[in-house]
Amino acid sequence: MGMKLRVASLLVLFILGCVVLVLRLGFLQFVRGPELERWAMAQWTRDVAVSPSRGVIYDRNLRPLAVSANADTLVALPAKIENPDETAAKLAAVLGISPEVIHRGITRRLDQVYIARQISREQAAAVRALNLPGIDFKIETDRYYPNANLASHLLGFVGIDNQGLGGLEHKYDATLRGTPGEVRNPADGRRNPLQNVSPEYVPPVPGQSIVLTIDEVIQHIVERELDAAMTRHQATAALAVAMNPQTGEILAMANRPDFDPNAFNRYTESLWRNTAVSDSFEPGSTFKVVTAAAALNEGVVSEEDRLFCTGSVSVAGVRLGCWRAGGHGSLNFAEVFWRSCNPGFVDVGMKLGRETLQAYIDKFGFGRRTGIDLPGEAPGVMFRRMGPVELATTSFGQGPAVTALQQVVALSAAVNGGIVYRPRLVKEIRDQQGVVVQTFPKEVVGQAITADTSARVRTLLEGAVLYGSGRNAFLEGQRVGGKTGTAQMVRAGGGYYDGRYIASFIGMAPADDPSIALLVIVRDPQGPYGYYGSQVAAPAFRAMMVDILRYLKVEPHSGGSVLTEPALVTVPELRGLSTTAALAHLRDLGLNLRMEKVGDRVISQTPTPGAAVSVGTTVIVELGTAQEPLGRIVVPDVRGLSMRDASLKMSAAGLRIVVTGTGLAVTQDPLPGEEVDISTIVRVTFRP
Amino acid sequence: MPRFVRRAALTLAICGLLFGYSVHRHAQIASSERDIAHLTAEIAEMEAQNAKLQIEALALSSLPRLERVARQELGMMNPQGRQIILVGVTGGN
Repeated sequence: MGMKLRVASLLVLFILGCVVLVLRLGFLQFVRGPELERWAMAQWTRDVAVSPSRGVIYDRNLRPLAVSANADTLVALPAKIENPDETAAKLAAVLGISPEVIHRGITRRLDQVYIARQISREQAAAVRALNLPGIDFKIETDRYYPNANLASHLLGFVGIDNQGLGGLEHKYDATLRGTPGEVRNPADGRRNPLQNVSPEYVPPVPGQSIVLTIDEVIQHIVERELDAAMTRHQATAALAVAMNPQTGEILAMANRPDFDPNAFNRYTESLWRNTAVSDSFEPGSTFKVVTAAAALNEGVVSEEDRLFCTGSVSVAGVRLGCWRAGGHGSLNFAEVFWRSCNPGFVDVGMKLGRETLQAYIDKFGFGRRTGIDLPGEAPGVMFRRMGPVELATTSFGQGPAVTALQQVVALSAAVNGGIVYRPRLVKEIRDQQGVVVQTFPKEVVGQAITADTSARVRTLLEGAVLYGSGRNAFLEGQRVGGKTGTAQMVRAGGGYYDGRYIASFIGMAPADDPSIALLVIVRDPQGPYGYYGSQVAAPAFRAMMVDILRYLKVEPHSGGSVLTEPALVTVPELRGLSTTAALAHLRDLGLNLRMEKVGDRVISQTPTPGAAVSVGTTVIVELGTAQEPLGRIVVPDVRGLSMRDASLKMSAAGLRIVVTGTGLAVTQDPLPGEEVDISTIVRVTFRP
Repeated sequence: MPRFVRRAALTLAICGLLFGYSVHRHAQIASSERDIAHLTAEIAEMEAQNAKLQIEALALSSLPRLERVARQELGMMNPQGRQIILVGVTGGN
């Protein structure tokens, strides 16, 4: 009897247990079913990356300049959307897009619709937390430039589909972008998708990376000094190109104004332009290197040949002036080069002759594209027909239009032994593992001049810095060579602007075996330091070279050249002169100018005339209009002073002294205390 | 109780236990699989964050930024051509 009860109760318990289990099962299946199903789906499937990772752009030391990172892209599957209004509202709140736009997207009759591409991680996490049906993620790659503006014109940028849109991103797009992967849904003959068969996944082939010839450090130095020059000289634009003259590798290339490729569409299109390769302009005196190299190579002139500059030269009835108002007088060719005398170069150009000069211009690579691996290179503009006037102006660099890149290639050829190399920006291509798959060796385009001539050109360039207009590029302990240039800006429609110039300096270092060729161009300097290449571009060149040579571990040495010209110069009388005349006068002496206030005449100056200062000193002048009286001066008392002290005191007061006798001053005329005009002559007699 | 009933009940009980045990193991496997999926997702998440941090590190070490920090925040300046640094001299003649 007890046993039956026990068995019966066990049976009842057993049945109860089964019922509970069935109820639980029903509950799980029907009530929590859909939610659990979604969990399971999320567990079984992964977001598969279909877009390939884009290759990295490295500088020559493998420092990344452009990288790609995965970013989530929001995709809607309209067939699976359950509540479009609610879904749209919730998404709008997270993404900051209007709900109407989202609603329109998710109700379209398509398999998949993009809602938002490459959203931030925070936004992606927020959307995931919403757990909305029919909303899915896709992994796309996003391009990022960690150095912001650095080398922006070179790198270019990419569009939303990771297509290269300019610069190296565009030129090497095929290499960088890789091959997209595929998710293939197997279908039967009638293109109906087969059920219960997993889709086939073909992984993407990642893009290859490119290693540039650019050195990030040199690029940074160059860009920093360009910014400083732009501010200091209140210029409209500036650019610089640095190249290794022995290989053709571009070490730096920068343009100002610039942009941030991370947000390229916030900048106007004109800022994306790589001026250094895409724009051609009249080079000015820096082109004289070509004329000089050609002339020396042909033997039509040698450094000691004497030439005479009267201040202008007449060619076929056209008067071409020298920048120095009264002319340079008698000079040898080396001095013509150092002081950048235009009539001297016209003479040399005539001696060369039209055809020969043209041939050399061509051999140096002007008039056609260099073939650098960048889009949008300009070939420049040469004269189609060269008459005598065109020959004359071409000799000193006005007339033909060249790009900055062409100039650097030509200078490199002029100083490296005469070899014209093709400039290039990419050193190697590497795969994702870092294995080098392709290298780009240096490429010889031709030979422009002999190695001997090249050595003579190097000497000339070094002389221009030591003795000529390139003084402001002088670097103590280093051997630097270069040429200044000041070109008038061409006006659209013909002719030149008045008072608007392009200041440039092209040079190389070390002068005996150059490892870097550098061109600096500053466009339309309107600041208080003048507009000459020697005053605007040469100092910027120097600032760059100091750090670049230090970085390249080119040791300064005490055996380096020193300025052998007298280190002290007497400050001239500038008061009453026009600004142009004052600039020219100071440039001639190797002094710099800083202008304050506004006007067309110099009203006062510091230091005062007669002061002995070292070469390179800046003279500060106050400008005013011609009507302002220059003021009267009280004659100081110099009686009892030595000749030297008396002279200095007179000059400091703005008067000129005429000395008679020797010893100490005894009499002076006019007498102390009298009021006279500036520059009046005071006669002083000295007795021992 | 008839013998065969007892035996049947025993067999059922054992089968039930085995069945229950099998279900239990399946549940364990499913649970482990879910853990694996979570961990895989976590790894992917961390890898992605790592990539993002690497990019951030790159941006922070950009040369213009380094120079700005050096000059403005740390007060550094360029070395001059000739620089005088005072060195403490001990002792005397």
